[in-house]
Amino acid sequence: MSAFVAFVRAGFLRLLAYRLRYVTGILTYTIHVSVYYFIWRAVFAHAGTDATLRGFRLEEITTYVALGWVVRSFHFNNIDREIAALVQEGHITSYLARPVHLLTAMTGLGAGESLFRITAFTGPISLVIVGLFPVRGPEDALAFVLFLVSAVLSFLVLTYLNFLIGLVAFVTRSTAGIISAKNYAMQLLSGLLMPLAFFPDWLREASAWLPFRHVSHTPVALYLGRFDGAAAWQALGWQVLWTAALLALSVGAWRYFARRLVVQGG
Amino acid sequence: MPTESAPAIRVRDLEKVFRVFRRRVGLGGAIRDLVHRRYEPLRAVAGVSFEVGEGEMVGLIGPNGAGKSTTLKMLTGILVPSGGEIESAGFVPHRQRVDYVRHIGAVFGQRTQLWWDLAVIESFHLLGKIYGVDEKTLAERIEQLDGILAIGELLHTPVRKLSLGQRMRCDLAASLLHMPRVLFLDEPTIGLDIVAKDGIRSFLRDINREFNTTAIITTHDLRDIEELCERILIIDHGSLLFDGPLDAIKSAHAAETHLVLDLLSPPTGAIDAIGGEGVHWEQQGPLRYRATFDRRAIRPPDLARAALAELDVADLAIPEPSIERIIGRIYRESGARRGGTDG
Repeated sequence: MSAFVAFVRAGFLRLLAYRLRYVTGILTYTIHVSVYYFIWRAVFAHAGTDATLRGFRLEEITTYVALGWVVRSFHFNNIDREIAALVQEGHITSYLARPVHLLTAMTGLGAGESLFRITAFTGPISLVIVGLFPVRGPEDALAFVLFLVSAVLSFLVLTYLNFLIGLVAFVTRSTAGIISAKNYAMQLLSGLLMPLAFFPDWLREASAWLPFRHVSHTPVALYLGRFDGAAAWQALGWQVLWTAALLALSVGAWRYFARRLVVQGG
Repeated sequence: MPTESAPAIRVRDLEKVFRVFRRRVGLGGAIRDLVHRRYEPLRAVAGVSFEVGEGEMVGLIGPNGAGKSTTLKMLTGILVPSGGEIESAGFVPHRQRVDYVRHIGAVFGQRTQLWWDLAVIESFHLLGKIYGVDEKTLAERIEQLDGILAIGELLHTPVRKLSLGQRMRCDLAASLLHMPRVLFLDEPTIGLDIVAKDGIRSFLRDINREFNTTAIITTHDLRDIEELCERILIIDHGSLLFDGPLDAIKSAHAAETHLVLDLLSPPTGAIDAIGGEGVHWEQQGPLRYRATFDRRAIRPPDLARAALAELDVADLAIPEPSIERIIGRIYRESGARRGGTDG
């Protein structure tokens, strides 16, 4: 546990050197949200300003998109690329020759990064978004609490997914394609680009069986109160199950790959 | 003495076989490779056995691709052997890796073990937590290591801003924070200038003397070996060519002692006769001649006296056999033997 905390601290500290990066981050996130906002405004201008599309009014859909990006500003990390680089450059030996589990290290570094992002990025980008776009508040106090819990879980789901994708570097030397494929699949299937409700039926049903929705859709839908009563707890339950499943998968995959390692570069 | 206590490391018939992808030639070959890949086994380590005593510092040397690093990685538990046995510090490294690595330190000279974007001191604190060293002990050790390695002024610099020599000193310190019983050093002086190399070597001597740390060092710089190790292991093509004291290698090659003469005037008679049977003369310059002989059969002073009597000598030298030359020859002989048997 104390090693995990030490990695959280390290993850936080190593970003201090790059704090200016988030100034540009605020700009690019604002552009992303603007693009989707104006697209949806155009759609609603056509359908009628008071229209409801697939259960969404304009204000709700704006919140869905904007909050998706706010959650992303908190939980995003690159540990998939980091692990791939460790494997490709042979630095993975520094973890193997030390009494620490790679998943502990990477989850810790990611959590430290997220703590840093909350202050340097999520705070400012939230203010900008609330100032620029008609975003609504949470459905009620419980919805907000569930949203916060779900947002923390979304960090774990994303981190374990990234961990697993990073381990692909043990199998293939070229991970860039796989990593960007995962990123696109995740943006689409998590609901970040478009609420899952607008998907064709088959895709929406398929996405229900995949972990990606728990990266963005679940916390945002909880915030908006889109689940009736017990369904909210059920959604959170599925997210917890996926978190546990991905954790188990990560531990198993690391055990497997650590035993068949071939270090690059002698 | 190492022989009296139980060995810290025991390696028996160690083997590592990699599967190597064999590409076919040309475009057609590349397309066929997509469908069916051919693999060939490569025996990087082919049956190596040795022991290292507690507190001993042993040099592991060999040409590029000889199997040194593979051996070292199996010893640290990073690679799983294909065959044979390893016992180190009372553990079977690859089977008990997580427990085992608490007791070892590893430095891979070509890549840092520290966190690139963190200040050195933060890396040290992180390592302290990983190894469960309490903060008071950690502070004492950092101070102690600063005393020998002079890293005090580097502690608050991010690793990415350190020079190679500074980084190596920090990497060495990092590998010792948890007082490992066994230290594995893979090219600890690579790329360093002479002053930095000397610093690292004297530090390793101090550590070995003070804490009786067992160490295996791989290097291409034989000065490291000469200054640190009493014993060397020479490995090539995955097999052990030599295991013994450095001096033994030198005396085993006494068969090639040289006597170098600079003359004032060309020899009048046949120079080949000087020293009689067993002395081979060759001309190396207009007035420079070199005799090669076995110093166990012919005493160097006798040959020198004979030469001085016959020739008009300006200068005379019996160069100490350079360890680099001797080992270079061992590598070449090993290569030639292999070439002969493999066709």
